[in-house]
Amino acid sequence: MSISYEDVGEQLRRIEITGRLDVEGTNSVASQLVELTQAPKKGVVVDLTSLKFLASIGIRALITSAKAVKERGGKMVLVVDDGSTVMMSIKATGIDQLVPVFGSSSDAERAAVA
Amino acid sequence: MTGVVLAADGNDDKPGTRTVIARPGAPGADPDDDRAHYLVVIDGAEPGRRIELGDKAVVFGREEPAGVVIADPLVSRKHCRVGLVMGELSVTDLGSSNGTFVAGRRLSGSCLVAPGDRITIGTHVFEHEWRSRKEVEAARNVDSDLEKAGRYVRSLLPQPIEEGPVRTDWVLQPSAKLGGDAFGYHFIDDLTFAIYLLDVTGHGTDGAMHAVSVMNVLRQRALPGVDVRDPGRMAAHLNEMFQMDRHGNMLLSLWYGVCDLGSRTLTFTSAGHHPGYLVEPGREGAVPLDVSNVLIGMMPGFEYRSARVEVPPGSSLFLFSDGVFEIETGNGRPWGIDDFVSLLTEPRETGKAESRRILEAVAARTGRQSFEDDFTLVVATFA
Repeated sequence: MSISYEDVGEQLRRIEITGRLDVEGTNSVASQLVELTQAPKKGVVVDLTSLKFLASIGIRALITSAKAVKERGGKMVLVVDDGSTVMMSIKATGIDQLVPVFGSSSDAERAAVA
Repeated sequence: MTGVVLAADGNDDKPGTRTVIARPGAPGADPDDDRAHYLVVIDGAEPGRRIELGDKAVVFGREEPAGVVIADPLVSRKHCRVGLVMGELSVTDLGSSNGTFVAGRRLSGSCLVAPGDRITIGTHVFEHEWRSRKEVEAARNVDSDLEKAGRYVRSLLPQPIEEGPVRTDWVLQPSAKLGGDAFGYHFIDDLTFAIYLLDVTGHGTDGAMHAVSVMNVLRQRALPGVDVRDPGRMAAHLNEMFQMDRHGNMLLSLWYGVCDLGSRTLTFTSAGHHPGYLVEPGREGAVPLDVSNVLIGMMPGFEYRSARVEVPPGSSLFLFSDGVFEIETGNGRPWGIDDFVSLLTEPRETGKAESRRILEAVAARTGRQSFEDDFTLVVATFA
């Protein structure tokens, strides 16, 4: 499992998480996610389309990040494939009520800087 | 927490980090199997005391020469004898004055004790563990706080109910790292039965202690300003009490239901938890009891919705944590919530609690003796 990011201009940061966001070895990725989302960008897109599994520690990291981004006046959105197991977790836990979720990265990027 | 397991993608066995569960078949057949039988004091003078049982039977009593001395005036001098019979734990009452209880039932003569079952002698409660010696040793050395937290959670769990309008049975196999699962049930009054299961999104001591705090609210039969019969209000109340920013960033999922036995209606809410399932006696299907709400602690002011379902006579309600279906199989076969739910409608087995039948079936189908997360399943059957 790994996390990477790319800054798109001044306004936007794209973060991608791949592999399994579950307990083994997740601690470091979870804290990196929280850290990376704190960049002074207007919009943060977290791409989870290559993530295979989202367990509780990952859910916590996503929620903590989204709250902190909101607090500093930014906007965090997620990219998730509809019908994936990750999407099922996001819906079941209600993360989608806190963080907007998109099926495509272009939609997500537009929404994040809107 | 919620999620669904995919096909195994590596990341397999790490010896000594898992909890071992009972598996049908000959114990000890596997040479790597170093499991031993233990009785652990859950409630009593020395909570956490762990007694390993060997081939030689041992007498439990109030004073010497009993092999295990229990300082309890309600325990007879020679109270009961515990030992292994064909690799299984057996207990024999030795004519004690106050009785020996196994899983809540008074024993006459001898009986076998399944892993997870409790033996009550006087005011002392012992839980039968069948665990790897390595793991027990690791747990003892590495984190006695974790052990204590786990015991604290277990001490809050209710006994199975064997008679009356609602019967219950359950299994909770804690993982070595302790997953923060807990559950409970009680009668609010003669005709109102409350039942709940929660799963904290955090492992270890902190997760377990958070579960304890929430349980201590849920266990109340009355709360000031909150109608405990209203699952939506109950979830909202907990949500206000346990916001993550004031509680170490911990969240939890909760399924909470209240059954009015007079009108046979079950009102329930699910706060970021997967559904509970209702299975009618004909076992033709499992009805998911789901309402979409957010995790407890995530959004202050969230209004939790609830839903209602009729409970036909003889139906069973199944509540469980994600540890029962988020399992990486040992045989390459996928295992997810649908696979788990399909077990609920399989036939009962005579003389075996439903929770145990299902636990054994999961172990058999996934090819695993031990699970990475807490395995918690509660079954309530309505007369």
